[in-house]
Amino acid sequence: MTLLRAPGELIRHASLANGRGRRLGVAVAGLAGHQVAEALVPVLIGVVIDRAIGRADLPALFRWLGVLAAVFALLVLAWRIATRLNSGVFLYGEHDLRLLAARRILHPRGMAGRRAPGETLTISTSDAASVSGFSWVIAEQSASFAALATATVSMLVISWPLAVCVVIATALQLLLIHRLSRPLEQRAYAEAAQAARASVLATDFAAGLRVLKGFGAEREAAARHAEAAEASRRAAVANVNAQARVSAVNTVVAGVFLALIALAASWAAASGAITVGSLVAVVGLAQFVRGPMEQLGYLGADLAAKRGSARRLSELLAMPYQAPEAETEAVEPDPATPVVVLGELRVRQGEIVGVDASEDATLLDLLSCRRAAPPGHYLVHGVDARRLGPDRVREVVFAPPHDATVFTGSVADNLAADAVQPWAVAASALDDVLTHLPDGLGSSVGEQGRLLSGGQRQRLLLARALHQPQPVLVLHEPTSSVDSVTEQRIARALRDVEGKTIILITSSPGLLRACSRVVRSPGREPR
Amino acid sequence: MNGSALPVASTRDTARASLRLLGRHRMSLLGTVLILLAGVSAGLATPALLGAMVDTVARGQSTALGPLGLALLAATATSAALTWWGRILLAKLAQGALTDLRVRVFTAATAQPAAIIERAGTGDLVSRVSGDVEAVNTAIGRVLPAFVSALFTIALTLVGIGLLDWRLVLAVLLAAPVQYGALRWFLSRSGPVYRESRAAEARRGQQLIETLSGADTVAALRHGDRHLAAVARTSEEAIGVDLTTVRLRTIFFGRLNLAELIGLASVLGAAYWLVTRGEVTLGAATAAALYFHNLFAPIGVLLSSVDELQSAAAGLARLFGVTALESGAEVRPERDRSHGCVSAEMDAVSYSYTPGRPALHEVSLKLGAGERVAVVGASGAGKSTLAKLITGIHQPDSGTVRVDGTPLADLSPAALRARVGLLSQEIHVFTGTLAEDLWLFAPEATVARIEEILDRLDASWVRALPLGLDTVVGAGGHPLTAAQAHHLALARLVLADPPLAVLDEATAEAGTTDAAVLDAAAEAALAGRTAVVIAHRLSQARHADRILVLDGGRVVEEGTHEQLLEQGGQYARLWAASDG
Repeated sequence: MTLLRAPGELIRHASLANGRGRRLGVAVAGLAGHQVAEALVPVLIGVVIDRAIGRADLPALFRWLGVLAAVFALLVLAWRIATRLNSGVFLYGEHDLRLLAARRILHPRGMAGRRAPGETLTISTSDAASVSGFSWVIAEQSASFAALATATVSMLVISWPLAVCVVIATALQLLLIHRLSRPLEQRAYAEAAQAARASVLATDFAAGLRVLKGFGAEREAAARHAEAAEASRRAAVANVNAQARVSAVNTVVAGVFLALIALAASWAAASGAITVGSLVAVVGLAQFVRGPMEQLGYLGADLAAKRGSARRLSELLAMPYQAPEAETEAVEPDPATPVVVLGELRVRQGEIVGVDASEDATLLDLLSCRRAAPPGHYLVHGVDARRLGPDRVREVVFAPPHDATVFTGSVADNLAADAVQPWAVAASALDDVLTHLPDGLGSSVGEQGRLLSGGQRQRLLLARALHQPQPVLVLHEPTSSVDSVTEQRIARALRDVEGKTIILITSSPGLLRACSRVVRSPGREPR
Repeated sequence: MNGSALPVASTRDTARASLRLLGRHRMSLLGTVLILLAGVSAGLATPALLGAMVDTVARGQSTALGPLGLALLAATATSAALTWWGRILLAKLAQGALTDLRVRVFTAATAQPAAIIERAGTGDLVSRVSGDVEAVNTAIGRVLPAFVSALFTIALTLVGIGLLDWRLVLAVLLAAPVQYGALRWFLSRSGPVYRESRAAEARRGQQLIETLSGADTVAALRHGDRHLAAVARTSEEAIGVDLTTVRLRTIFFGRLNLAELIGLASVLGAAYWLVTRGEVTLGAATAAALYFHNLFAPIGVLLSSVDELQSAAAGLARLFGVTALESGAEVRPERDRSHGCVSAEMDAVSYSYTPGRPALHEVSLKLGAGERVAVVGASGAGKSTLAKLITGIHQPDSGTVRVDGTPLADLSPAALRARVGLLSQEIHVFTGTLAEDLWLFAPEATVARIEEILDRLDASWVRALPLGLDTVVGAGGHPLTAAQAHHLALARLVLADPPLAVLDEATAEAGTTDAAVLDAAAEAALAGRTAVVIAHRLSQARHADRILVLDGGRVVEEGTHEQLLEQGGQYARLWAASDG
């Protein structure tokens, strides 16, 4: 896979790669054709009035209605083809960018400098969509340009002074409207934010309803919500007021310009410079050109937003790796060397070593390669972890985060193994949990395991750890949400696990007692 | 756990309730409609005036053009002003009705018995009070004004064309059957496809959220490729459905274009016939054609907003479903604290979530006024069930729970909450300032009292916050640690001040130092109260007046810490194993 990094490259990749360029080309032509056809409709109405109705020419009526039908057919077909093709270009472009971002985030060598999940999520969803939306900008702007050109040429054919007047007047009109309505739009935006408050409060209170109910505080919450709803109502009305003012200004300005153009065209028609049908066409076209010209006016803002998104995406993709590149292919397990060495901590095959340093999260980060150890500090089977690379280390050492993620799916899915091991289910006290679930191992755990309680989730995570093929297991406070009785059971079971080397980072006396030896702090000698 | 326990109103009830809601403002509704109609008709004068200009030019009377131009300006200005006014009136009306409704929904939903919330989960409730309200709000704010003005424009345009000549209206109406057919076809197909599209997008979003927020877990499991494949798969599925909706929309709009062609051709045909017979002028024919051409946009708006209005109606049905639960009687909060400490009693109480699998079996427990009892047992022994029964959240299948001799079943919800408080396992910090959070539980408490309570509970961290009690916490605010959130929960308990307190705290994911502080704070919070402490850690049980050991829903041991140690039973074994 070639490295895609520069913002411009990303925009091109989304809109042009994998055959999308060809489809986008057809879509642009289609949307432009559609706009031209739309522009021709008022022209044709004028022609029918002029040449058929005005002259009482029946064959001309049928001829021109036939042309109208042909224009409509072109309009429908062009829009249909263009919309379908461009939707595909947009959606697959977004898809490709999303996968690029996800691949970078999940890369085993990690990222130097962590990014909040919320941020990476925003980049791989809204920013990816925004960058890929460039294809819409190209298609729509080209179409607007084609429409404007058609309308202008049509008017030039009718009367060049009128055409020049219309184009200049429309540009002035848009500029004026922009000037007048910008402050109003900003105010509308502020009011909209205020109007959302009642909803935020309602969500918050509903989410904490059990807490409120515990002390009968729901009435006070309802009173506060009513207050917020009233404030939201006022803000919403003020918002509508500001918006309505914007559109009133728009209407009046547009009306003035339309009246001026109509008067100018009428005088031209009265003086015989243009026909009555041309007058109809000019008035129709004058109303029509506003849309495309307005669209063209947004080009700058559109492109700026896309460039911002492309830059954020590009920064994410270009994040330097946290771990150096691997140098060694494989490791040879040797019973004489410790399986894991981390500073002074030396762990031999089959041991259960307790580390009483639960508040020291760096130990877990080092063992799991989420943080790079200095050279020679962390050895796996006697080989420096830096030379092995994170992926090879993780083949030997399973060190999940303390609050590891439970994924949507069933309990069995979350064990992340080909087959369910009854001994591991028993050792993690997951069997107790299963008796409380409707479908045992097949029960759904809900989004991020929300259908399970904290203690149930923790036992599921322990069972998952025991199911993993890695010979070395690092567990950080694996029973912090489990009651004392169950913790005892788990401690006894862990002592009896065979064929695994376990490093237990915990402050629980019950768990530490199950270990074959306890290290106070990884820096010091084992006692 | 799944499934909605909250009802949904039928289409008929929804329509009736909506009318009732609007009926209260009948006069302003009428006024709004009239003003909007007037605004639209002023706007529709434009094509008529343009037509008049054509006629003037055709007759060669160019001097009359000036007044017509002025009339054009006046019409536009009047239309703009009236539309502005009408939109504000419409917004006031609709927002007022929505505010009434959202307040009623929230109040009714939160007043539901705790057992219903326990069963349904809070998800359904959250989606009603925010998602559905927002859907209706969007429809009212964005779709409704456009829909109403499109509807009025179409109606008045037809009237306008009719004024030119009634036969032109007949020509226009030739388009209607095609439009009706297209809409019917679209609505019957789009509903399921849009639903599927939203579901596919939700699946895609969820997969991405889980994979990215669980990146460390994925790396530890070495499941990177597997997760990328799942992200790609859900994304491709969503694309497939999205493209289906695009296909539907393009076909729908294609049919609307066909209707436009039919209408336009027949208007022009009719105009030809009428003009050649001398029954209408060329100007009138022009006006009719322009009128119809101007209808393209409002017809598109009208027909394409029907499905948005449909989904808003679905939201409305879910909201009215909740208001159907409103209890007629206004319950007054009872705040008499004359009880001091209360006694409590469970008498041979049994309870089962699923028939045949009792979670509690004939459990009896007597609490003297001011006594503290700890409940110990493995997960699933029935500890939390006991907490929910003694606080009246669940009603026992058999047996009775009494507080000060009165069965809980005989107490009103307000009287019950004035006597019994439950500090639940859920940790939730409310959005807003810390003081606002605490005032939820004691609206009349002074700042001095809150500070005194926080001091008593040794919550010195509050003073260390950037703005003390005025620090904004909760979603998007200053983050609190699990231990601080716990501490806050204990302060709420003291402020709510129930004579009987039940503590069903989750084990704090906190280091040993925090645990000691929290244990001391709980001790202080429970002083002077009758209390049941569900002990997930044995250290919480040790200082209780009495300890109850539950196993399989039955009481197996009972006594003080020392007595139970002497007995050498389950508790003694646990203690020996856990305390080093």
